[in-house]
Amino acid sequence: MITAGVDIGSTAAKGILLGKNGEKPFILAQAINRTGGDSVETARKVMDDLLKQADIALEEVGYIVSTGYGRIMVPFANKNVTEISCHAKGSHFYFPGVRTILDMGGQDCKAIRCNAKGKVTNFVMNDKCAAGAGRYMEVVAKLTDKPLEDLGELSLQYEGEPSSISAVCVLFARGEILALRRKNVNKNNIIAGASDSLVKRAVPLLKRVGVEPEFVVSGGIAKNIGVIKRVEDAVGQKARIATEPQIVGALGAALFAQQLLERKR
Amino acid sequence: MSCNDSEKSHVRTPTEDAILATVTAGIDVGNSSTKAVVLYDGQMTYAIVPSLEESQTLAERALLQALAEADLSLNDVQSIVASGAGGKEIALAGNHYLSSISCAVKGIAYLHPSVRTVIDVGAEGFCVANCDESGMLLEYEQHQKCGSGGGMFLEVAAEILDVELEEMGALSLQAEEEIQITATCAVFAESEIVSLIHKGKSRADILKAVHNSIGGRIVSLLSSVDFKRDVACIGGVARNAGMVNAIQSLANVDILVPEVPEIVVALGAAIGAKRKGGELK
Repeated sequence: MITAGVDIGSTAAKGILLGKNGEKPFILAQAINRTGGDSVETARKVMDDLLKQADIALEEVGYIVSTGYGRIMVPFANKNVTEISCHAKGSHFYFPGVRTILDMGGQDCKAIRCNAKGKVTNFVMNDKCAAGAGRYMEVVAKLTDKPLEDLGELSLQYEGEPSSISAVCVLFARGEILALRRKNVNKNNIIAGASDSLVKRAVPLLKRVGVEPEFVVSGGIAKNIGVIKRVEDAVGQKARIATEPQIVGALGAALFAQQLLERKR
Repeated sequence: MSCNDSEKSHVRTPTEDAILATVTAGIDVGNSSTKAVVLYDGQMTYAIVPSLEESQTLAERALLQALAEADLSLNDVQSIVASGAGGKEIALAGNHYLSSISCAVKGIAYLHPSVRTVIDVGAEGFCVANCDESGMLLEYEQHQKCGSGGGMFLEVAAEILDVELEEMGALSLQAEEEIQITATCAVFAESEIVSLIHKGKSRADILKAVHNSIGGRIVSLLSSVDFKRDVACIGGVARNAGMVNAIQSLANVDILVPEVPEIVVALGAAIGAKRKGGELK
């Protein structure tokens, strides 16, 4: 029995091909691409990547669940499920003890609470403003001329105090960063200051739902060690991170697909 | 918000100002550019410099340029008032500071006494204010929480669409199709603009959507102060015909734009300095 989960995010498109060995699901293939201008095309490309890796045809996939920002733009999906449910489901697969999830995506930030079964019990999100989302870090990478992947490490290597940067609006932060760059301020201090302000926007969401262990961070920003450290300091808890935190939503979708297929049979 | 009494006690009519006849200056240190206005013998000169350095240097550079235009030197100036986001604690102005809003209404009343509501659109945000013919501030509201209502949003759009800032307004007026940008956040709107480009929408249509999006936020604040005619728009963004047009059609009111809309706050500060000068002598 093979199922798939396709997560069309605002910035990246993720896919998981899931098999089952007895009772235990296992990952057959995974893919992460950039989301292009055409969501349908983006979804097709992720699916093609998965099929190619596993060397199977689309017809061999028993059930496909789509999720994410562009979940209704996946023509070959049997069903779509919100990314909130999928992130809870995927996190629960990796960490069965999970109760609180911070999902930091490209265009939104969500704090999710779930029960022992990985079912969502409460969530709050900010999808109105980039100041707490991954896009902010992309802007910072561009303005400091550093690779996005390096920002986490660099944000921990500042000298003295991190720069003070507005947490109110990314456009304002952009102006402030440009001014700091003109003053030749150490780039790591700028990156540290920007990371501080990003976390300042994410933490209140967590506080609103309450942080109960285990605490998991998922989404692309979970790869940023500087942000993780700051979130951990702010909530006073260690964060669990999946090996590939960016595919947690797609994994959740593939797990839903497995359930739905079993129910159908 | 309504203004306090100390604000009212400073109000004089433009005619009274003229009688005081001193050489005064106003400096508006904005987020994007710094403006200086020199008032002397009922005449006015001005200078605009980009805000790329620290405030004291900017204030001095703008003022010296405006003075050179008038063939005057710093010693000739009897009184200076600073305003704007970076206008607090300007040494040159002896730390004399007036808020942008109070300067905006003073400046507009001097130029166009018929104006009752003024919209000041800056780089980072905008404010709307009601005033009387003497430039007394009656009521105001501002949008400064984020960059979704300011000139920076326009700059972002101009950059993605590869249009000169000066040309974007005119180009938006050539729009043929009504499209919408749903994101409020300028950074998210950026992605929306990119996907509109991918969908093959014309630059004019996208630009109109950008102007309408900012215009909508301005008009909703405008309605909250119960605006009255004449309505003026000031600040650098007022030069953008697309922006003015968007506000006009969304609020269904004609918008008056002064000849040099970016210097109205600096002019108001120079008028404020005149009062200060008058009182000192």
